[in-house]
Amino acid sequence: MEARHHHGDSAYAIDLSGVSVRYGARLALEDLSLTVETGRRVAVVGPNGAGKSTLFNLLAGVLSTDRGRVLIHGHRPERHVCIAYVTQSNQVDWNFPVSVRDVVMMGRVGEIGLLRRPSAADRQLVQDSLDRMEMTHLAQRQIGELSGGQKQRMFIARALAQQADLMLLDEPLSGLDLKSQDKIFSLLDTLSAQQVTLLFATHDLNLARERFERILLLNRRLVAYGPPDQVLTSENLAAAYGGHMQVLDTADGPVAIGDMGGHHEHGHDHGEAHG
Amino acid sequence: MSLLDLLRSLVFDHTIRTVALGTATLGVVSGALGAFAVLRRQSLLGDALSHAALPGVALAFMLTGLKTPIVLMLGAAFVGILAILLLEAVTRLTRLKEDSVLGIILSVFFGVGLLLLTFLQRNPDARQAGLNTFLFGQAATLLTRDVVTMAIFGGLALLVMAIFWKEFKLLSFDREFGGSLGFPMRALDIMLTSLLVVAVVIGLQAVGVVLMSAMVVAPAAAARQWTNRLGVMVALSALFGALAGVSGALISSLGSGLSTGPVIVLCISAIVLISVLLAPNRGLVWDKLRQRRNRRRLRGESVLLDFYRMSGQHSDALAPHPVAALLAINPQAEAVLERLAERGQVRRAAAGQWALTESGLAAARVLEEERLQKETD
Repeated sequence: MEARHHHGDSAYAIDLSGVSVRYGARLALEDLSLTVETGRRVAVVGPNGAGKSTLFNLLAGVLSTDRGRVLIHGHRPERHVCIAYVTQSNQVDWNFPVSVRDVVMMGRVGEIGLLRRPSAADRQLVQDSLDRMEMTHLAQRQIGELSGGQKQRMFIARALAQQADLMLLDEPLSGLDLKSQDKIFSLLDTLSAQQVTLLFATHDLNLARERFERILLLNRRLVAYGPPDQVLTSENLAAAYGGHMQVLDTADGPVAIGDMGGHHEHGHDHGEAHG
Repeated sequence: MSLLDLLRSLVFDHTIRTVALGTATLGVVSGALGAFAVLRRQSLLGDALSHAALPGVALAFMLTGLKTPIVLMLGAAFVGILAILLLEAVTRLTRLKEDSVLGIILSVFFGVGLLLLTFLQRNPDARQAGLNTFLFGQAATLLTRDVVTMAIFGGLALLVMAIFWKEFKLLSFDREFGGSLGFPMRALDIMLTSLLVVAVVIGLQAVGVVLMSAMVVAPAAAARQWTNRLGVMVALSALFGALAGVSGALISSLGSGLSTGPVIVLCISAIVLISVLLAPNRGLVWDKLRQRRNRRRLRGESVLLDFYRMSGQHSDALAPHPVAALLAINPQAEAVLERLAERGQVRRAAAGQWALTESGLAAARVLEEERLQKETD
């Protein structure tokens, strides 16, 4: 197995230029160029089918580009162990014979190496990650016995165990109650303080505006990237969402309301709860 | 022949010992690797692989004129791998679903294999005699050197499985995540599938192409019933495979001309049946018992709660009440009350009159609290 890169010399955590991805005849991402500085906390927003998950798969090295170049800390993403990816949790077999602790330990597999068993340090990291997500009491459970929110927290614990420099979270709040959501955000604060770059896909524009220093607005092409007040303008939102989104100009800046494809579970509670 | 005689022949009869060792080997290997196939929802793959092996066996014989098992196994493995590559290519290039493609490949390859066998039988050359045993398996034809070959290839396959254990676990559970860690998931996938080819091919002579897939799927399905841990499941699956192999070989040694394949498959089916019915937690019998217990508990709780609410309207919660009102809510309340009385939560005060006891009152209060808690959650 080739050497894996841990840290690059590039100032940018993410550096995309002219990236396009095609699924059959359909363009999922078109000519995307973007740089994200190390340690930024970025909300990735856009309508369904805007290419959020495609972008994450690309950054995680699961998918390759049809055109363009992807660099993570100056290197190609395929051999990076410093990327943690929390996918939407409906993709695994919940009946699989593994415990919560087994799954979190999978976050260490990239570091452990062939033929080696997890070291005491690996086991300690797994334990710490379980503690941080308050899942220690569930560690021995078969994963199918978890509730929706617990499943989500398990995957975040697995990402923590990776000790990644770049964390990709694809709608990590779905199925979580407000209390758990707040816990996730205080965890993200800690990670930000450790210069971990965070990309967070969400449907909730108000959450994005209040909790993130940068917003990436996507609709197959890059609509806008920058601080929330510069990105969430009426023109940009109209460009990204078309007629599906109404924008209210309020004293706090524009507030988005409307049909976002029926995927939206928590409505606008975030705005009220965190605001 | 008594069971004791059978076991004695297992130790002292050279032929039976060889056969049993061979079927145990194939059971261990196909059981262990089959566990991964089942977990990856590739049960059909074992089926397609074993059927695809038939033309491989026939072709290997036609090309070399040899009937040595190693030559035939190599032929089977070669065509098996060809079938996998074809499966991958067709699935990628067409819009057909993978299971449809598997079905097509299975029947086409098997058909070609049967055709080749028929052709060989018309041939006056007598050397092909015995190739037919590859259809349903004939463990009696296993020689020591065949068993050694099976053990070497099977052992190597299990060794590779052990070396890449963590990676195969990752592949089977969450392929995308493995990819994001930088593992070459496609290569691992091809490797694990090739190991399955080895498992299928070493079993062909003893079990036959038609039933070999059962040795891939059934031990794993049985093992899954007993455990929630991958390592234990793989070990159990290997054990069940070996158990079915040995008992099948022994039983078929009782009658002459009895194909071993069907007997081994019947043995593993018995193990599956027992596991599906009796395994703790997941077994159907335990499930039914648990359901019954839960239903009974819920009925008891609901009558106790009704009784408590009724008596709560009086100043003395422990005073006797006529149960006519309870019977109006639940016609079986009388029987439930009898059961509650056995647990000391109510007592019969007079004909048709029941009263809560202290412990029943306490239990009811706890239930009431829990219910309120649930409503506010």
